[in-house]
Amino acid sequence: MDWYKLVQLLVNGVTLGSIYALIALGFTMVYGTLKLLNFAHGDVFMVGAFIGYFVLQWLGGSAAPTVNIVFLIVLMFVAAMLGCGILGVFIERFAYRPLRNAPRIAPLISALGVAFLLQNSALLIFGAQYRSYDSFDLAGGDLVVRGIHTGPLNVSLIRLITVGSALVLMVLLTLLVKRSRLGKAMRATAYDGEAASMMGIDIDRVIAITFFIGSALAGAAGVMIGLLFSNIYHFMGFYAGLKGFTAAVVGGIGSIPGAVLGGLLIGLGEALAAGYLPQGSTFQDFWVFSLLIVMLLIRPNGLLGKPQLKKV
Amino acid sequence: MRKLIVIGTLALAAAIVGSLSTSAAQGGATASAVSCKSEATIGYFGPNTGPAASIGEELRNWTVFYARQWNKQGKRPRINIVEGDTQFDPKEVATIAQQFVANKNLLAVLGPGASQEVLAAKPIFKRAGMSYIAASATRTSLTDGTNPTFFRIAAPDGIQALSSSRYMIDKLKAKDVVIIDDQSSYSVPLADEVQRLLKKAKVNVKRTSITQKQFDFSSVITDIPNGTDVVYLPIQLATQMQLIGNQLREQGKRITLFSSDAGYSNDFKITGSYFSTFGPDVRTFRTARSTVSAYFKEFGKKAPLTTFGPLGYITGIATVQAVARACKDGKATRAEVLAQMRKTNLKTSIIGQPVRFNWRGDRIGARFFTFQITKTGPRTVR
Amino acid sequence: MADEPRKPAIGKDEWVATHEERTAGGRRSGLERRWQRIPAVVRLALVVVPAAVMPLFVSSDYVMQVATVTAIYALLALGLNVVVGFAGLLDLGYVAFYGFGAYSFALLSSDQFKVHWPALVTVPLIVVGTALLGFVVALPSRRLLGDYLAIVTLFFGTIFVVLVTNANRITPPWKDGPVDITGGPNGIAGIDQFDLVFFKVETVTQYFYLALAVFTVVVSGLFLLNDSRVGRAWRALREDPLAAELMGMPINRLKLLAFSFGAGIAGLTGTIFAPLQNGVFPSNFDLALLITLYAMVILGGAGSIAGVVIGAVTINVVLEVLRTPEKSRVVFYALVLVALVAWLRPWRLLASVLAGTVAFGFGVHAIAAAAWPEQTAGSPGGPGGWIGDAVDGWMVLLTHPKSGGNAAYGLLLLAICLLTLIRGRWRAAALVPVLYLASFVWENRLVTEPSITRLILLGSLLIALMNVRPQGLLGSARVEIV
Repeated sequence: MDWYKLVQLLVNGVTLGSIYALIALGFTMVYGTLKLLNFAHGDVFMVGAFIGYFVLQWLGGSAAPTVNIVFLIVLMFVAAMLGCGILGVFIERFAYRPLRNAPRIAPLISALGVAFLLQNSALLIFGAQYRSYDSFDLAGGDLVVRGIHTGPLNVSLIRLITVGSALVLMVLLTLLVKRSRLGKAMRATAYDGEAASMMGIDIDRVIAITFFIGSALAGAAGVMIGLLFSNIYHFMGFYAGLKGFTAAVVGGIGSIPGAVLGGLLIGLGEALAAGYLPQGSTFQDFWVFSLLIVMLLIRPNGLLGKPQLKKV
Repeated sequence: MRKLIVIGTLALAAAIVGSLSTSAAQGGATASAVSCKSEATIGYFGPNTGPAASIGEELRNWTVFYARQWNKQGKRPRINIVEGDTQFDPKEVATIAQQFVANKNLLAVLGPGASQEVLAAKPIFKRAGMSYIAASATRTSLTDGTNPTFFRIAAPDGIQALSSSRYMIDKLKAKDVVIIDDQSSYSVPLADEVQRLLKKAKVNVKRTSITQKQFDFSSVITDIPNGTDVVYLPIQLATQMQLIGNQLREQGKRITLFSSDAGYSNDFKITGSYFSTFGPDVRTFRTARSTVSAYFKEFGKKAPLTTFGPLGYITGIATVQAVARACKDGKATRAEVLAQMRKTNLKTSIIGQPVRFNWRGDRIGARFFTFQITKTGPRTVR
Repeated sequence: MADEPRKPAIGKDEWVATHEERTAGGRRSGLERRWQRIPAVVRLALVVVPAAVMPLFVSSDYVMQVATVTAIYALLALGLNVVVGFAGLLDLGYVAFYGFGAYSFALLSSDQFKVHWPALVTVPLIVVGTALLGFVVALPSRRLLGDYLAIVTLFFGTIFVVLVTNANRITPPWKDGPVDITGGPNGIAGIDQFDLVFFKVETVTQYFYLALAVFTVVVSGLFLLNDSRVGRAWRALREDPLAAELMGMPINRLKLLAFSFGAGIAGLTGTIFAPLQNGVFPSNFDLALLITLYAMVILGGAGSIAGVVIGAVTINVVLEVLRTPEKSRVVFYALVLVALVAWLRPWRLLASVLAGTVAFGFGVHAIAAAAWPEQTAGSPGGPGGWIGDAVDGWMVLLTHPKSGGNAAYGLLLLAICLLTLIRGRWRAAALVPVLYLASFVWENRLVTEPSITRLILLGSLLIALMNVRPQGLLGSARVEIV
């Protein structure tokens, strides 16, 4: 047994998984409040990656940044999160809110339309080329070279930063939802929107804020993908969204700890499949999705989801 | 008001039918000559959108570039290019091919991009006797002699595989090789062929694959054994090669990378790596310099340039000149253009090689160059 | 047994029953009711007969190819309509069934395994096989509620593409090397023609007749099905699964049946498509196709057979026309006009908005030409046609349209969103600059990118339709019972 390989795969899996988890959180929050599968979420993530890219280029690019590196990275995150948050609020306001009382299938199709519109608008505006953050050149390669390197085990600084900031965001989100007044309002809306509105909660506002937070998390995930893996392009949102979606479902859609757990599971699953299964990396998606389908059959509500009771 | 809606909708329908039937009126592939004294029409199609759009954009720029230059210089006939987007979907290819054939002014076709697109267009163009020329379709079987109106600039997979595997065996003394393909129709046959040749030479080969939409290769890289001599990357995206190189470095693995055509790009800059491509270094090549700078002027400083584009440029030259020769008498047929395509004889080209076609449509003397990436840029080693 | 939702009843049900007339139904034209009154056979003939005589007047293979592809789309949309429209299940893996049919046909009639069975044998086999596959995929829906079905099918669609892309390198345990099943990313080329034993379908026109014949059969079948016990049960399931279950309907069996039915039609369509294209490739079965099919079903009105066919024909023909700039211009301005005519009333308002836009355009053009002569010296993209010439004097055409066009595009999206917020007179007034902006974006940017434009329009269509008329053109409005 090659323990180093196993540990390295676990490291890879956790890094990827924490990004999936961030995307999944947005899905799960929106589903919790609106019972809507927001197919456009992955494309918001793509927009976040592009915002981060343009901030980086604007401030001199990876090779010769004109500002302090820490400040640069923070600025990329802030810009992407704000930009995506606003985009999310817009999408909710104009594509979903008018449909709130329509049959269930209508907002789903509207969401498909938004996803398609965003992808192709990005293609129109940004072009079809893969863009690169060149993050391995950032700070003279320090982000990769520094970190924990013992023997064959390598945990670079950039991975530590990614997992660390993902953790911070998740803790903040949990505190917000569990402790704040706003969080209480969100939970009330998720539990029963109509009753919440009768109690004087402004549902429209709560839903808009939910979209803002979820989309901002996706924006952060976009910048993380850019920093970690460099390459971004207009179609990336769909596949990332699919993974985030899977993560949310595995964890039990609507459940916040479930989304984090699901994200980590998917990330680890991919890494271990690539490392140990024959043709594992070729059939990576196949394994992940098959696993998911089987799991859904065993536990239809996901790992941490509550069984749904439907009122008549 | 309802009547107005009805009338409006009917008017729209009539407009659509009308505009379709104008093209129908042009329809019917005919052998009769069309006048091309002042203007001649050719078609271009490639994957402008869809999953292969990043390659399609470059191919399209370069392919239409020569015609634009031609028109700017005021040469006759003026070349009018009709464009079609295949979206990397063979079904679209078939429809656009029919559209080209139905347009009786259209004399020849540039494109399509990938091998499977060529296969979808083959029966239609064959029946219509329409000449078409691909820049980058590399599957060996495309020029098996059953495709009489097809030409290509890139060399078939077989030649590249032979050249690359020989270099790995003879020069790099590779004993253990990992091959990573990207599941595209460009990559898989090339990887298969190299794998076969390496195995024949008793090299240990481990084969794995990634996809073009994957972000993270770190687990694939963890799975690469430490004693590996060479990682062979016949993939289409230079940014992915760069990421693989970087992630190898991140995991402390010092393994030589050997990539294929797409490695010739500003995005792939892992020093010490090799790549093999059908042309010499266009950027530093003297005869190409003015063309390359004109290209950036035309399409912007950030316009893509790898080795695929210049091949598209050659398809443009060959076709436009063949059309011009066929149009000397003021009119031309598709058969004349096809005959002129066969007679293509460029003494040199942007890739520094002459361009002539054999009876199957392959470029005679297509060879491969191997480069090593140094700190100052790629250097030809063979 | 659930009755037709339109039949009046007492209490809340009556409210439900009159819902259509009170809301969107009021705008439904008498045309549709008249259409409904025509006997079904005549209705079908009205569609099929003109299509059938069309080849007599058209000699172009291109038009026939488009017509055949349109028929294929119509078939696919009909199949999807069974699942989405009749039974109300969101199937996001539908394209995979189509792919399964096409690949099966390719495997049974090509050199891939040196099998060359006639289509008369393979097609029934494939239809049954695909229907069975649909049954298996839908099995999870027995346990999974609502949206989970969408997820499982979405994964199924994705897995299908992964599998066919890589099924050339699976090594079975009993063999040394990998077995090439699907040709991998290269797909399978060189498929036999559609062989009916006594007749071989070869030319595009013959394929068109084949598709049309299959279309006629499928439409008739669906019509009968829709009015049968099962059809009514599906509708009940769609409107309220819980109520349907309480009424004693076997909802699980109904779901499975709908899935199998839709899948079977998709498989059947695949068997026509594979020989028409003379090959099958993984990229035939991607997300864009799924979105296009949904747009067709939704535009026409989920649940309505005639609507779905109209949706398929409209969208495919419009997409086809959008390929070339001078034709796409016609479509663009015609669409804008039709939309305005449909939404702006009274006619005085319409006339003043149109006149305002034209005047506004000339004004802006004059100012821009005077202020920035170098930057606005562009010419219409692509071959202009007469509309292009007319536009040249009215529209500001940038010399470098790319960046300016992109910015204007972003602005346009924003402007359209904001336009939905204002009402009354102000909206009409705001419409003038927005219309001009839309034309500006169209002329400067979109017309030169026909391929991206098509997809952007599809996406916008889905959103706009859901907001304005979620039941589509011919669908019946649905109400949630509270």
